[in-house]
Amino acid sequence: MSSMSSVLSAAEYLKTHPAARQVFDAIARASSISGWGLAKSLSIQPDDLQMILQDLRTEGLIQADTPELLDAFLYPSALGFRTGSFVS
Amino acid sequence: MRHFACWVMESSSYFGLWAMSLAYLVFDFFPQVKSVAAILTTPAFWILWAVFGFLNAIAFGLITTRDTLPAAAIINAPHLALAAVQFLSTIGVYSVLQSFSLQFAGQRVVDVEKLVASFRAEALEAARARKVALDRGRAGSIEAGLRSIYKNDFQALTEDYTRVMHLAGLKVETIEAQLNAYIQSAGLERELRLTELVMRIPVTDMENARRLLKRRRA
Repeated sequence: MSSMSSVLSAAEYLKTHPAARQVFDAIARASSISGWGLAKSLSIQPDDLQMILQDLRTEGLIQADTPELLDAFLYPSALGFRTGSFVS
Repeated sequence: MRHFACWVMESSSYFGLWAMSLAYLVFDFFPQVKSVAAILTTPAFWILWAVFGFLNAIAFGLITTRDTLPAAAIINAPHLALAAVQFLSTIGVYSVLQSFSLQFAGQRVVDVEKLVASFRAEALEAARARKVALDRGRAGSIEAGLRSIYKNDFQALTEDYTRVMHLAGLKVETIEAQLNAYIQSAGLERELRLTELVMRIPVTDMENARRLLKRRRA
């Protein structure tokens, strides 16, 4: 279970990385979205998006259903849901 | 006979209470999951419902007396009074559980709010994972339909893949290289490359892929 310090650390990360915040918000808002779907809807270059998604996954904010992030469907993790309600 | 009538009345009260708990939780989860099917097939959601429903039943028991409902004194309709008490009990339980903490000597000794928020987040993650699994299944069935068409129609694959992936920001030269690698491959490698290319179409844009499949089949 995500502790309060993890939530604060993740919130700080989103606050200091606006591009990551934009991608995270799009994942949280969507009913279901893949890496390619995000690239299309946010008009972000796939290579740049892949790096942002890797960082978000490293921070523990998102989960993916396949290891290849652009081909995967993405969704917020439990920490992502808690952080999302904390920063909104 | 009177006992049976009382039992039926009491059972229907608790059934309504559990139904109200379920409706409240589905309403709470829906904006973040956007699929009732995914919510209702998530085991963590059922655990949350069982806990909230049980506490709701206790709260309902505490605010009703043996034979009468306090709300009946102000609402002149028995069923409406029952629904009002069920609603108040449900709202009360959720309000208390989502904000309850007990401090002693400046330390939080009981923090139900944190526990509920953590478990709710775990249940939301599980429900979204379930939604993704359902969407992956839908993408898979579209992919299977498109694959059978593209396997014998490279021109159609080139047109559709280029259009969809170009909109997703993939560079034209990368698209060209991927399609060339597919057409020049053979055997198992060819099958794998075709799977990779076709899979990306519904994954990138499910609605568009559905339309493409319909059009190509026509």
